[in-house]
Amino acid sequence: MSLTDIQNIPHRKLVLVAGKPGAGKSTLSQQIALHYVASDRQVIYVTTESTVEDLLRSLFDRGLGENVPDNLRFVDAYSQTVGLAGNTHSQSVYANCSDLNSISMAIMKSSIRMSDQDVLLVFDSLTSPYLFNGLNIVKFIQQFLSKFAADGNRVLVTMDEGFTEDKCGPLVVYGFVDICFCIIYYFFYFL
Amino acid sequence: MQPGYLSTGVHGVDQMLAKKGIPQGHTVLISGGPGSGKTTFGIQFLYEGAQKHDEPGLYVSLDEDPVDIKLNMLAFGWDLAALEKEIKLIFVNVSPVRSKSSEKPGLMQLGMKEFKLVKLLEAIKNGIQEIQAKRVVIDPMTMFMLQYPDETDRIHAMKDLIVELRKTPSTHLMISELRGTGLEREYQFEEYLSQGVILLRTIQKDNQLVRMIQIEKMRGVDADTQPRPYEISEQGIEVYPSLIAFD
Repeated sequence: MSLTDIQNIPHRKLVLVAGKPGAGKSTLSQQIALHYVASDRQVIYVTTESTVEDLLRSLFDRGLGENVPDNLRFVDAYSQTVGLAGNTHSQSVYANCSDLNSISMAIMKSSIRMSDQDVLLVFDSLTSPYLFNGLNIVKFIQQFLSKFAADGNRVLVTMDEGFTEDKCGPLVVYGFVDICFCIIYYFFYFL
Repeated sequence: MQPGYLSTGVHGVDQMLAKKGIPQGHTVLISGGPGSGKTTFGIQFLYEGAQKHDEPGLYVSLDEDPVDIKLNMLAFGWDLAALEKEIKLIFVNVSPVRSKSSEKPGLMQLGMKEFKLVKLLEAIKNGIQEIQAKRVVIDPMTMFMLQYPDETDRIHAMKDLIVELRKTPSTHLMISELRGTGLEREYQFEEYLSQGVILLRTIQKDNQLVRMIQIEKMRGVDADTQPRPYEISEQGIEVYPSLIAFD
């Protein structure tokens, strides 16, 4: 299986990417997001571990054009969580990792502004909301993220490895990618 | 909106009310903690009626000065003074809290004896008559209840008030403070007496205020009784009826 296969997140499905810190979860998420943006599809990028400015810098390095295209929107769930007064970016909506409602509302708000029904939601990563909300995160995956996918979108979620082992994360998703020693294992749970 | 129902004007709430709204003639309790947006909800309801449905509104204030309310609501872009000029909206201030000129500035005194059920009803009925109000908001009921320290008296007064309000052709929102805004709480007797209860709940979580709205009951409507997340944005209260609320 090649990287190209992973780049295509199946319609109406949620795919979970797990791996140790530094394994390349964010890199993979950004590449997939750029792949979708480049093919004129709608992308909402939720960032919980860096500001939108930092994320943009990284996306620019990976080849995003100078102007942020209209089909790419952001949910900044980092700035408020750590108490930063974020710069108001016209394509960003703010949320706080300690309040899952603020995240789901911010994603809904961004998707309403999108022209298409079929949106790729990249959520990088779930670790921080998990630290604040504990097992409620499983409820969030099932009742919000999976539902968002089922409503006609695609969802890519990353999380740190330790979390997926003891919590039932992988059980509630359609696809599960485990990044381990830079070898990508890819499983699909066909239901 | 369907005949016989009033659109609340609060984005997402009508959808929770089976896409119908509040049944005409109901007396509905809007209950929430400080800063949960109770007054905003009430004003949004009146604004919707006056601005979009040609339904004049009456705002009965028992606490906050209407001047302040009008000023605060400008932030949402709602020009209440303009509606007042068009006689689509009136404010009646029946606050039992008055400042006495003999007192030092800032000192307030409770003038409870002057303020009784009869007086409140009179103000409401006159107001309704004056502009043929279809929508009435009484904010907050807490100030009215304070006059009845005894619980039995309080229940009777509340019951009398609701009975009298039902005789009017208007639809009423009674705004009250919610004791215990969390998920586990005691029911307040006002909730049993009114025909509808909408709770604006707030939970303090890691220095973050988590807000959720719940329609506890609405007689005659197959309402969605699940708590749903909401926020107070530049457009007023916005509810996301398709989202599950996480506590």
